[in-house]
Amino acid sequence: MGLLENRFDDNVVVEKLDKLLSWARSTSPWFFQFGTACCAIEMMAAAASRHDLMRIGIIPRSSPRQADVMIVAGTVTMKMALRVKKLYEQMADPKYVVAMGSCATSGGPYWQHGYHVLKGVDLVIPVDVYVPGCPPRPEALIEGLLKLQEQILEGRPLTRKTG
Amino acid sequence: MKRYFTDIYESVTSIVGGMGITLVHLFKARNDNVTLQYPEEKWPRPERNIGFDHSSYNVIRSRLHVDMDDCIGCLKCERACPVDCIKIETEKSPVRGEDLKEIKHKGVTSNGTRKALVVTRFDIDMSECCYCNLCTYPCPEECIFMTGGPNAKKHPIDYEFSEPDRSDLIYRFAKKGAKQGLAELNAKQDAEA
Repeated sequence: MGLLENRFDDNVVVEKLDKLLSWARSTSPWFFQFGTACCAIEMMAAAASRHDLMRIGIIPRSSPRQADVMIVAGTVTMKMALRVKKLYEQMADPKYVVAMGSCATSGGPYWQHGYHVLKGVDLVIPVDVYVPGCPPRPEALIEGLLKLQEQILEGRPLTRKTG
Repeated sequence: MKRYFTDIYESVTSIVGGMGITLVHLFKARNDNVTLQYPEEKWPRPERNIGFDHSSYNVIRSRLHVDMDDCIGCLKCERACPVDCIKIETEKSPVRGEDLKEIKHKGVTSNGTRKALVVTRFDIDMSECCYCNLCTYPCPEECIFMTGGPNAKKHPIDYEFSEPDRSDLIYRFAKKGAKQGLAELNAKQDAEA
């Protein structure tokens, strides 16, 4: 993945650096707002002053180049799937994806007869956290993002994975 | 010379005055803060006006839950679901209305209905659910409902249940090993007969 990712053996320096790096990453995952449907409204509400994502270090960005987390909020059509992949590839490492709502998770109401809808965004890009709801409440999205923060905090980016 | 000292005086007083207002707001603003400190505090769910008494109808949009001891396997919720996210499989019970301790099957519901079927599979895929609540109305035993609302005492409201793995969003309510246990039970009965 990145320049430093999984290149070092286990030792004292790397272990402490690892913790610092993952802590720094977990406390400021700026998100790329990819709102395609009604879930985008809830995402906006989560970023606004009532729920205020900024107090946990999560700031909305409009460009994939500046973002760490991509929140796919809403129905992803077949045509849009190519764009989702392109935008994901434009993000700088380390990058994470949150699939928000039923549509992004599994196709949602369109999972059976929707000829034009991608059945889950995990078919094109790797997803870290799935947030259920149709649409999820802002609190549910924040809970998903807190879960993602925990996941990042547990990650050891520098240590080489054995086995 | 006079100008020099009045300038110093003005700058000091204006800074003290300005910072005083900031200090007042620092402590005053806490009282009329609109932000919800989410993981520490939660808002109660707003009540929806649906035209009749709210307390007796469950109109909450949260996670679906099934009380399997009350489920008779009538498939009404499966048929009502507009997105087909409920999957039920049933098998005939060897003795109607009797408890089957081997598979933890309860014979009689809390309403007093004697069950003829054993539910071997009851899966709800919450990632496909559209939270329309249509499955809860046809249920004759009122065993499928959304958590919270009138059922909050038994099942507190749960609308934030995000998972890192998608298959964890499929909730399996049927008793574990019910299908296999029932097959064994039937085989035993056949051998005896």
